[in-house]
Amino acid sequence: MSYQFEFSYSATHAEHIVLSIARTDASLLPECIRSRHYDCIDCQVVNHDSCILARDEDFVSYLRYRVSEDFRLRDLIREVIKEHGRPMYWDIIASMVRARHPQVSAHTVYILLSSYKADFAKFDVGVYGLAK
Amino acid sequence: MSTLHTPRYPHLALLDWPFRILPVRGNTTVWAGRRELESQVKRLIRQLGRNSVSSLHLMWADFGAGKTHTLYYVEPLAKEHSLFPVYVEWPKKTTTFLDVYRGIANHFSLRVLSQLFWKCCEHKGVDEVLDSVSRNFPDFGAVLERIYENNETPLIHEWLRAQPGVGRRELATIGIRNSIKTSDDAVRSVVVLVNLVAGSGDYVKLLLMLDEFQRIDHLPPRIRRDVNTGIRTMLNACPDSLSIILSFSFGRPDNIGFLLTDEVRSLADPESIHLPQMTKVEAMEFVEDLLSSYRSSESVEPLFPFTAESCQAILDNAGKLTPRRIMKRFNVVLRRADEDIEGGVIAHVTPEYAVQILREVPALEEEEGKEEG
Repeated sequence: MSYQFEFSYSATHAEHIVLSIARTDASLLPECIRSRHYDCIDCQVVNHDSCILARDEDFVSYLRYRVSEDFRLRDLIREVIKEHGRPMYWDIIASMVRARHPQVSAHTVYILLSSYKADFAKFDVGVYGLAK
Repeated sequence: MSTLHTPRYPHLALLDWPFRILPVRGNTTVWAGRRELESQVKRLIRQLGRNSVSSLHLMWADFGAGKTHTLYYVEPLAKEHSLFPVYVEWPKKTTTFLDVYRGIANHFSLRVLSQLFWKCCEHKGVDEVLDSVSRNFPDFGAVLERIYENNETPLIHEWLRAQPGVGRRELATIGIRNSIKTSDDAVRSVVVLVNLVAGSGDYVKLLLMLDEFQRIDHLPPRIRRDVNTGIRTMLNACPDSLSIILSFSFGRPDNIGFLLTDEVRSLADPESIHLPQMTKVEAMEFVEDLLSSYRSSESVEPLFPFTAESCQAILDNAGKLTPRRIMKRFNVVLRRADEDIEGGVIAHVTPEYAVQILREVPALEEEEGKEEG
């Protein structure tokens, strides 16, 4: 695998990187995020010594939770679009999601629609549907 | 019912081809299966023709469930009940309510407009008609004056259809100051058309059928609001003589609520029309009704050239039982059976024969997947 990531800067930065990887290609996530049972030895991170994931098990748990929540929300959006049966303007998708889960913001729905490129496709300006 | 008297397919005992994928506009009088829905539609149209109070009705259909066919079926029915039907397919690209208005105005040719105007004049008198129109929409008043003077230039129709590119100088030659260029102008024009229809004495009201309304789900909120406001304003401006049917096609009927503003939703009649998938019993009844509508001879079995078993096999292949999916499959099988029965290769369609033909056309499923988004 040629991808390498660095989690040496800050918790916010690490969270951002982890979510970006999860949304682009979950198979590239560090093993500690994908599973509770992992070994840092085979990890692809740039700098093992300064990796904040390796130093803070609670933070890693939190990131696992964030990723699983992200996936859950992605699946919910997929379900909403699938049930509707056709692409829609993103704010309508957000309203449909929010009708079921009011705590999810419209902004988050938009971010997920535009980030999970393997799951969602942009059909026109602002119009998203399921990727083929 | 087909109007043909000589059967086109005597070997199938059919007057005409029964399985059409695309609904035919203009003479859609065949209704197959779904008796309750047919009664509901007929009852609604009957009721709309019995009073002039304006109303808004929502129609939801699953993909390929016969929404457009139902609206085409409503057209001649509406005329029987003194309604002036205007069917408009929602434009694929909409930027303002004006785009929808163009579809409405297209139904009013110069001849139709002129007929309605003269009928109105017979009932109310020329002065009253011209005064009331000019008071609310002076440019439309000028148009009617030109019709009154028998100066029916095509420019009138171009103005009415809000055609871009008609210059002010050109319009000034027939006394019109401005073209129809805003949603407000469009609504004012619809109000005049509604009043002309109702004032003609031939019609109780104008029945506006906006098909494919789900297409507004591709529009940004600003345009959706404009469209909703247009509908609301039309109904507010016409408390009488206007009924609107908005038809939607997508997976969940309750998603209609996400496309309409609260203001428009609150105006909708509580009894909406639903066209879901069919049950197997309904689908069988649908096929039998369809065949009997085109039957040239009563001496054959109701499902001929199919049998109950072969129909069942074809329906099993359809998966989701919607009229479009059913028609597609029966069409494919009957197309082949037509030649084979005429040539004496088979006497009727057996389940094995049907399954074999459907197996040879695997593209059906793929096409349907695309159509259904």
